[in-house]
Amino acid sequence: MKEAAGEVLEQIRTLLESSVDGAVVLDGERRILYYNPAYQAASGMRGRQLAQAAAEGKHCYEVFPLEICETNCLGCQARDTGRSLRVDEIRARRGSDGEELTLIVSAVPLPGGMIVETYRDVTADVRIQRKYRALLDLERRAKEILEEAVRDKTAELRAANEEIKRTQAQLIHQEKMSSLGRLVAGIAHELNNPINFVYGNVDFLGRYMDDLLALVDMYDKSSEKLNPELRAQLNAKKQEIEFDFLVEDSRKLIRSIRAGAERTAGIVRDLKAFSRTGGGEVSEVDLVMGIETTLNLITPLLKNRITVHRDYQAGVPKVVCHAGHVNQVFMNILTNAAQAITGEGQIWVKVAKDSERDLVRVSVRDTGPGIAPDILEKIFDPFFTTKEVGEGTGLGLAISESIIRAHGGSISCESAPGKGAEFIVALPVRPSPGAALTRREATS
Amino acid sequence: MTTERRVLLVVDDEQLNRDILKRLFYTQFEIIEAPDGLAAQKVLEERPIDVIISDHLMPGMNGAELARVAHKRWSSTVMLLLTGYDDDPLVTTASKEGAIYEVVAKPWQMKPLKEAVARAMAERDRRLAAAG
Repeated sequence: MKEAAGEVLEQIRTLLESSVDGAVVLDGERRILYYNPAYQAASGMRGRQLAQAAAEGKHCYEVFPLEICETNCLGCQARDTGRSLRVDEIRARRGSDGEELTLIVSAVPLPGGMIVETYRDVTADVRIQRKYRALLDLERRAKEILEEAVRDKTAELRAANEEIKRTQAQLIHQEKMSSLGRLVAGIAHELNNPINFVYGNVDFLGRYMDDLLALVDMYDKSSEKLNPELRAQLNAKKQEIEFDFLVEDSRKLIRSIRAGAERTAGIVRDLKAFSRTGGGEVSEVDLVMGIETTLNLITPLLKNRITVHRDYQAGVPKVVCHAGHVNQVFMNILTNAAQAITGEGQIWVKVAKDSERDLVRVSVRDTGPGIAPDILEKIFDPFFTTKEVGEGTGLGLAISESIIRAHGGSISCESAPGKGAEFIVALPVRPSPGAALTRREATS
Repeated sequence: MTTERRVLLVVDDEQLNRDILKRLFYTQFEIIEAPDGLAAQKVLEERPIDVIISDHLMPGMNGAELARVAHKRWSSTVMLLLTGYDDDPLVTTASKEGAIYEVVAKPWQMKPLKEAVARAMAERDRRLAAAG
């Protein structure tokens, strides 16, 4: 048996002598029977020292202690189970010089209770791996930081882009409104004289008609003095031309010509108001007074039908604006509110100073049917109207919007079907230098 | 009040507008027509005019300019301006200086226009009386 063990040992020695891995053969008590040169190198001990320790019958864990020696001895397990074992990356503090090592250790049971343990030193590999992992980590973090920065920048750019788009839309709108204003001013001017021809002359036509008819009446009354043949001829002509109908219808014609001219004149007035909403002189205006005057003017629309609730904040400052134009805005909004309400209803008028900015806010809310979203987005467009033909030019709110814009303020509407509508006008207490109040093209 | 017919100078580049004004006033006043400010100025140089009733927008000299010239040279002649643009700075300035006695909105209505002309004639009397 002992000889057999010796033979095995001899064979193993031949096998392991030149191995790059450290290898040690232990007896059942884990005393060192053999070690190869690589084991000696790994142990960090001098050849003589190690030879002496082995000769003294020292245990492997005394010569080359590993962190698992005390709790989880691989050799013992291999010996007891009769199976080979291997553990990767065992950390060990080398007894000889205290150096920190990382090893791959395997234990193989041999006949006669012997054990072969091999040690591969992977300290350098692990160190490189660790460094590599740290580098990877660093790279990942750098990537994260970069991505975050890119995200932030992208959000910033997106916001800036939105802002540019908004400003651009605003500028396009302003330019559109301004060229539309010029066009409308031109049309209004060109229409003024032709309307005057109709408007100024139709009364003469009526008067001339009356004179002529009076004359015909005189002829009529003296017709019995004519000879019967001539009288019959005249009567025949009267019948042929339906004289009585002509008289009556001519008066109607004149009335409808006058009505048409008056309506056209009204439209031209609106067109002019639309095209020149920034002009005129400004003064300090009490908005509440303007609203009250307007409410008085539209009393016929409200009477016995609509209750007006007033909520006027005390001490609201006067606003520097063009009183006539701003009152026109209140007139538009209040009239719209009253007209929106069929039957009985309520209107709330609120005037308050903005607590943060230097502006006064006027809100007009009604219990009308409200405005559908697709209509709501068009209500400030010039010539957009929901009223019957001839009832509105579709300029009221467009005029209001350009007036308020010329004052450096804003006008908006919140509404939904069945929820009524609220118009909010915000006017700066003092117009900003950019407001178009003093700048005005000399209109002809 | 003189026994002679009073003279109304009607200034408008639109013949049809002048026709309307003639229709409106020929029974009360002698009417003289001019198609623009410069022609009106020539008329003023030739004979006394009681009241000028003028359009504003005309080729050459406009109504507000005519008003200022007339106010300077024939200060007792009274100027009425017919315009749809009563807030034109040229018009408001001339009004403030007293060169325009009244602005009548265009398109005009017969009654307010007749009343304005009557007021202007009365003003003409006052001015002549003040001048002695």
